[in-house]
Amino acid sequence: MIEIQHLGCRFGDFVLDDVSLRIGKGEYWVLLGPSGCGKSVLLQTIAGFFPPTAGRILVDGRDVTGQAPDRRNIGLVFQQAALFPHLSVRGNIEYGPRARRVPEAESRRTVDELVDRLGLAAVLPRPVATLSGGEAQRVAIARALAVRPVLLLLDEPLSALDHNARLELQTELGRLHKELDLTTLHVTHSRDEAAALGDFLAVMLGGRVVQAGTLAELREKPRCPFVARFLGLDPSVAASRPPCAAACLDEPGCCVCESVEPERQK
Amino acid sequence: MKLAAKQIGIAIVALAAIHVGLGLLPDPPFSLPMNAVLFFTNLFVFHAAAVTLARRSARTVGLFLIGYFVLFLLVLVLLGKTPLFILLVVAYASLFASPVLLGFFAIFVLSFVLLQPYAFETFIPLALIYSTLWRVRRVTSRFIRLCLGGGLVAFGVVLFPLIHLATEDSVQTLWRTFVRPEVRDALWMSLASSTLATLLVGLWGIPLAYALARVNFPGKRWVESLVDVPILVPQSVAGVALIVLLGPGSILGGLLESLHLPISGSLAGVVIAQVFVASPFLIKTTMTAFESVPLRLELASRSLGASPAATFWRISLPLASRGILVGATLAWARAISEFGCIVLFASSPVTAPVLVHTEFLRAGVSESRPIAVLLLVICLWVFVMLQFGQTLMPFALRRPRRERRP
Repeated sequence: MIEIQHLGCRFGDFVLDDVSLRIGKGEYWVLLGPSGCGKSVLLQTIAGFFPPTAGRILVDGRDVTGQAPDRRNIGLVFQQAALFPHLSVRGNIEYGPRARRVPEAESRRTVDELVDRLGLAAVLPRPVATLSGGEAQRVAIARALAVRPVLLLLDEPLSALDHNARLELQTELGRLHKELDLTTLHVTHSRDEAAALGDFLAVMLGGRVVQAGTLAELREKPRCPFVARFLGLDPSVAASRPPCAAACLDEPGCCVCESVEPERQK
Repeated sequence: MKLAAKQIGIAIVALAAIHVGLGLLPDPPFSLPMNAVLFFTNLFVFHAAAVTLARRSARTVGLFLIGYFVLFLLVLVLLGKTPLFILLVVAYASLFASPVLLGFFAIFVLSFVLLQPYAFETFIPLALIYSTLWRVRRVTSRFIRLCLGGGLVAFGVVLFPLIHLATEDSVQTLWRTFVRPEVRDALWMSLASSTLATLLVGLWGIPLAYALARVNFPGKRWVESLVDVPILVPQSVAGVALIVLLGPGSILGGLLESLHLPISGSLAGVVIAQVFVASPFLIKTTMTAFESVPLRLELASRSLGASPAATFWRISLPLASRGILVGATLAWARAISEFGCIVLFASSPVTAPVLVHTEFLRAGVSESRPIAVLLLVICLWVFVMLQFGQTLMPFALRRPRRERRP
């Protein structure tokens, strides 16, 4: 189980403000929000690339807040696959086990299993630079899974793909999650992805989590007009919701715009 | 447009009239047979012009005639070489239909007729530049071709002293110079010391460049500027600075001397001087190379469990290796070409540039020239080898794809 408690972080223009999430083992969470709302910063903070200014991150009750990224065992997949261009496809997938000095036989077994599972046998001999977007992203996912991470972070993994590849990989992600019982946090700004994949949903705005819960809960009771509109609910539902205590930057007179706005301008 | 029989007739008659007129002058410029040959040559040129006119516009024919008169003025009037003129005009008229060959022909005339003493060293570079321009003519605008051609020719003029120097001495002279022990020692000393200096700079320059490429701190711009200081400092100033610090009379120099580690006058002195002047080239280039490695590759490596040091060895260094080799090549070239600082601070053991200088003072240019040529040839050879070596780097990051223009 991953617990994020009152996390705060400041990085350039991006600010995280009192973010708390509780991701149970094997749950698929989708973090939804407009661009610039701090989703990626939250992800990179969880991965360990930015030190938070406040709050804690617990993995199975163990505090990892101060740990270096290479000791957290948290997998990360970027929007652009970020494969190592000088290594082969197999070299990329093997990279994690090698870096952790996993015995040769075991690492080979892991890699072979992932190659089977993700259907990568055909691309194994190809140079990384010649892979298509979808293939590269599959390899990146296999690479992240090869170290058996306690948490898989996906940073808009489907955004850079064309429509067909996106649908294909989306199905694949859902299947992998079921088969491997992965704990996943998937960042996106597309509500279709969120609806298709997420058992659980967290909506972010202005560096805060506005509402978190199951998809059904959020659909039934969106906390504020922003959440309702972001989930694409009927406009009448949005209008009926009372303004909330979270940030709705585009809703004049709504909630804490006043308190968030000056902070963002700093 | 095709000429009518009548027009052709008039032209031939006019041509004949000119040549008869020339022959009837009180002091004819050509002998009778020569005049006859010239007449037939001109007849051939006219035929070629008529053929051209039949296929192309009148403007092309105008160009053809301009070319003819340029040759006429240049070779016949200015140089007065009639047989050469006949030869060139016949070649010109035959080649006119093919722009490629015509260009090479023009360069040939320029090099072998106008710049005769420098024929080979002008013809080869110009022909190379022309063929380059010809090759890119379909994919670039005329403006870019103008920039490229003009720039390359001007650059050729800048490099011309070197190109000319390389053609000056015969292979025998070079060999005789090469077998002289002091020359070989100096060349060997130059190669060894600059290689050593490059390795030393790499040893601390690569880590520094990596850090500068990955960390931001207040005053980083100043550090980056400081790295460039050795480029700015005049070589003699650097030499004096090193003498003051490490020379025979100085505190540090005396201390090292008493430890039997003399700096001035030993290989160490040469290497120190070369490290001083060569370091910016390696560090700056290496820094750019590291900056071009996407940060997210390093983040991915860290998230997969590789420590920062492992990430450096397995991701950043291989991906920057091509740029590092470029920097090392530049640093090596700068080290071997160093003269001013070494001649002041470490004039013995003698390096090749210093030897060129002392031989020039002792015996004049004829003695120092073969040594200079040898040094030039060896440096160029190594430089070219290293440049080609970059393309063979196994870990080279592919160059970003150029945008294709529609």
